[in-house]
Amino acid sequence: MKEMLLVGRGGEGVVLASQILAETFARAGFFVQSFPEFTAERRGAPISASLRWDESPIHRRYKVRDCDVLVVVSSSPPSPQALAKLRPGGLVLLNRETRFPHTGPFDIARVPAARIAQRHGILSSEGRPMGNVAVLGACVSLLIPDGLAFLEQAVASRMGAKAGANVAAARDGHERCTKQHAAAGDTPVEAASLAQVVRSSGTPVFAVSTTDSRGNHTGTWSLDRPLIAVECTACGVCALFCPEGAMTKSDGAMVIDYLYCKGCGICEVVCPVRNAIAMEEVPA
Amino acid sequence: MIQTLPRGRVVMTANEAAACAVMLARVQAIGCYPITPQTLIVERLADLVVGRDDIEYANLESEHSMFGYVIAAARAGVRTFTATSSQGLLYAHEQLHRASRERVPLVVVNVNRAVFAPWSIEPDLSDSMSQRDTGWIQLYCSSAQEVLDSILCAYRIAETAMLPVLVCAEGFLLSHTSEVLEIPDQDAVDAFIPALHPPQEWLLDPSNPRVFSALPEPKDYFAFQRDVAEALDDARGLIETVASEFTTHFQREKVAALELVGNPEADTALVAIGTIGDSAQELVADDDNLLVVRVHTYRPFPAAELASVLAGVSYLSVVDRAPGFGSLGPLGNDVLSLDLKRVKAAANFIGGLGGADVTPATLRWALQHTRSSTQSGGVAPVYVPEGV
Repeated sequence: MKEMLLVGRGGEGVVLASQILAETFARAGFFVQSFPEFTAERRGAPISASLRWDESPIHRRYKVRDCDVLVVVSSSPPSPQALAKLRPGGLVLLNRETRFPHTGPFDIARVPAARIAQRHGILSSEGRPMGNVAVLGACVSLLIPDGLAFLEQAVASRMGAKAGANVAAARDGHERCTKQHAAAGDTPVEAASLAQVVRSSGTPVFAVSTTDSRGNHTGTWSLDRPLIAVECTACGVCALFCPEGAMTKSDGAMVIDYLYCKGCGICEVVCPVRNAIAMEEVPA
Repeated sequence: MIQTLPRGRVVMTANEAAACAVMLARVQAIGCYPITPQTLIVERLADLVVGRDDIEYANLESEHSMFGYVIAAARAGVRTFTATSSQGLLYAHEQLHRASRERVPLVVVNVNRAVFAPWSIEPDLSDSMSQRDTGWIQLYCSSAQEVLDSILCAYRIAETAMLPVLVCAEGFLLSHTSEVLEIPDQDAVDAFIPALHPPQEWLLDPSNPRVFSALPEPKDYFAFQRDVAEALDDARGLIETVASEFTTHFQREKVAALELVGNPEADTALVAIGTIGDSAQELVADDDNLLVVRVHTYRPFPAAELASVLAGVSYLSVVDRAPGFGSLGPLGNDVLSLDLKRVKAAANFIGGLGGADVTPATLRWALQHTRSSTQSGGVAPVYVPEGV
């Protein structure tokens, strides 16, 4: 049996990708399990989905802890925590055009999925390229010999009206997947040391937090964030409209609390001053 | 949006499989409360009933009302369905008592999720295990296929025994897990589930007004409760028969009360329920002195069958996925109260609460714990320590 983790952000189609890949494996004659992370999914928050496949029926009914294959659906580098879940000798597949300048006890493959999605016009509501299906094309080229037709069928059956562009993206991903060979200058990823978990000192008797709900830093879900430029007149209109209460005027200037800013961009839209607020992408 | 029923070998979640089974069973009234903790089951059904004027799909204002709706619809003589989870089932608790004591042949799916407090949306069996004494038949599944198959069987069982059936499937582990399963043809299901014909005197009939469930004498009240108990006891044979007919009819093995995997002569046994019973199968591969018993039918409890299966066992481990506050876990209580003369050591473990993993390593630890103990009956359960 093989186990896979797919990681990304809420809204990137990670769970759907896992289901499409499960159907692909099933069409290729395998037994499969595909399931999302056991939490509420939120746009922008870190998301993972799991996949198991085997030639025999699968009797594992618990979460995937370590994996043989780590698939990074986001176009940002994998977190050390995600890499630490990869078994020695495993494979990591990256949504990436350029070399991943690291090495570790695993193989590395990459596919320019974001570029492929862009070319086929597969974009999120915010206009970001959705590389999930192109990544699946690469997965299938690495894991299922002669599997592309099964992937195309699975995409067609799961994606309805959006199937056409996605089938094309799957084909491109299948074709443009490359394995990366180690090169001088690659720095090692010390996955094991990063895997150390900080243990709390026992479970408290009552389920009561030590802070109020402001301890939930919802700003960590943001895909974009506003930046205040020198043109800002501190008129305060953005603070009136900010749904998170994350903008305040302090000492005659606007200040953004990025711990709670979800990057919705309303401030940029309502700002009456030209070029005072610009949105920039937050690295995952 | 799915508007046609898939057929044959498909990949789908237990939620989707449940919705397919309900449509295949030709349900006529679906009551639902579509707010958290409801599941995707009723969402899929909402898709599938579009354009079907032979099916009434009603949105109610709570799970309590939702159960009231299906009870009334059943009494009007139609086949019904509803689904719930966690707090939703708890909120409907008094209606559960009513359904069994009024002999209403409901089929309900409960997606097992942990119970407040604190908040959790992850799987455990606290919700339905705490409905154990409401007089419902309870079936616990361990795969999406078994959810589909059990729903089809449940309509036969409910409508023959005139008792409600709760088909239980763990949240996420089954409800959200896509896997391979077979969907039978409509014709095959039609040949397996006959049309509904409840007893005429039990039905609501506007042309013949009568009073239902009014205040009886104590001796009569007592007799009605005894009848429910007897009907549940009698359902053991019925569940066996329906499973056997299912296996023949659909050419697919259907578990009735217990699924046995491993060595039937082993001196060590592990009894579990739901998906833990499925994960436990991995232990059998490298332990030929182990019998894994997965309990599928929890109510009526298959006491005689378990006693027979466990008669030669020396070391007995029972694993629950629900707490046993102030006593053993629910399954532990039932299994360890059997008269098992050969048992030298037995223990009841409680694990997997609120979605904690129960892996083969957890179960190996439990078996070792039992083998090294000298207690021949449970006094208190062993809560699986963190990290095992």
